[in-house]
Amino acid sequence: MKRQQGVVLVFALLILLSLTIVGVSAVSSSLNQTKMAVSMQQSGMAFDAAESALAGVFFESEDEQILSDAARLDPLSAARQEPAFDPQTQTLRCNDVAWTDRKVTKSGLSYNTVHTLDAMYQDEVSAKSWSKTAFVREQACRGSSNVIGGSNLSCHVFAIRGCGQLSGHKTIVANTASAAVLAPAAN
Amino acid sequence: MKRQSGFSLIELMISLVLGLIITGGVIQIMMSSRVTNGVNQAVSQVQESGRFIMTRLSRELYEVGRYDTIATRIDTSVDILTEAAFIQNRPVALAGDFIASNTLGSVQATAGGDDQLVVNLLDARDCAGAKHGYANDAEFHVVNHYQVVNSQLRCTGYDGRILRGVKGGGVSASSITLMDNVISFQVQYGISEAAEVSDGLAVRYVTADELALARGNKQQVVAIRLGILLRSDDSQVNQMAEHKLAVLNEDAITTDKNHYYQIFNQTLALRNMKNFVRSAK
Repeated sequence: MKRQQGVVLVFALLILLSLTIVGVSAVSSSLNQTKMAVSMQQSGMAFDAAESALAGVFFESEDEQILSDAARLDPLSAARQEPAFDPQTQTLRCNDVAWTDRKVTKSGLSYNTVHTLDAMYQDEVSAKSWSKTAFVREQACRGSSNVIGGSNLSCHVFAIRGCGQLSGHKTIVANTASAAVLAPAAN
Repeated sequence: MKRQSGFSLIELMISLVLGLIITGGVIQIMMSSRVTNGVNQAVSQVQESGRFIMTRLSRELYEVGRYDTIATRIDTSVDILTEAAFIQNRPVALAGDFIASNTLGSVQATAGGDDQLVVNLLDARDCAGAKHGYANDAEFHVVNHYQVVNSQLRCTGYDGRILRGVKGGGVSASSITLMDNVISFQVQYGISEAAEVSDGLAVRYVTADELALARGNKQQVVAIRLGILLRSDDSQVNQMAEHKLAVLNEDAITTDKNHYYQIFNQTLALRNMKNFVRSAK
């Protein structure tokens, strides 16, 4: 074979190399952007799941049919019967076995239902939504008149933890709410 | 002499012309990929900034109107019942709310200007991370003021107790720049129906200048809608197409050729306010 001479190959390789560098840097930066955007979207989904869990507790606690049924307990009444939670010394964690459990599934919240069915909150990006409710204490109702203050009523205070977690993720997004219910004093 | 062989003049000229055409094409491709790369960089930088600022503002503003007396350690050097009532009834502060700074409040800017947002909440630190002299884990009345100065979105944090005049000392403020290249910052407020009949949902979105009237009608702010227009750094791109972009209620702004522009919108339900308004029914 005749010996080849020339710089075309070298030039072509240099141009190819520079285009490859540009291409690789563009792909890697867009991959990073995608990762950040996905992470933000996922944390938003977990946050929504946690908010739904909080809403679920309020929904069930205001359900007249559950409240009038002696055999079933809404989450606040159920928590009232369990040992009290002291926020100063104890923690109310999503992973705790104790405290009153409620779940929100993809079928949503419905009246006349105790929401304890363990199922996915959504399927497309699978996630779970659950809550922990604990009774904190009885206290005088703020802003209550002397008439109420004088009678045998007090405000029963509850702490509620709404939890949301995407499948395959270790992190749980937890939101907290507190609720006070006007009820007869225990003593 | 040994016979020499080589290219003829014609062959050389043809190869030179071909080389010129190929090199021109390659340079063209390189130039266009450089421009595309610049646009991509500008777009991703603006989007990253947008995601960051929206996440940051959302996290802070979700807590507006929060006053938790159960699970938090509140600094009790002032009357916390009055403080709770103040924060829960005035999640968004208006001029005249604070004795020590009569003009501090949310402002709806005139056409083309940037709005200002002032919020009340209970927190352990203000938006700039300052403690204002309180113990490390103690929470207090925080007032955060968001405004745009020289295209920078800045947040200034205050001790609300000094502003309300229930604690001595001069008004101390701590500032932080949250974001550069902010071209427009607009805020709208979702107000509920009158507290006696409301179920905590926003029924209408208004601007800050309508809030005093809403407050008079016992309509609470239960949601905040944010609109931010960001643009890329200088001399990153050129020859961009010009657009007209409108942020929330404002008139459209015409973009220029030398920057990439993008609008970010977010509507947040103020979770604490929703429950507070519902419970007043």
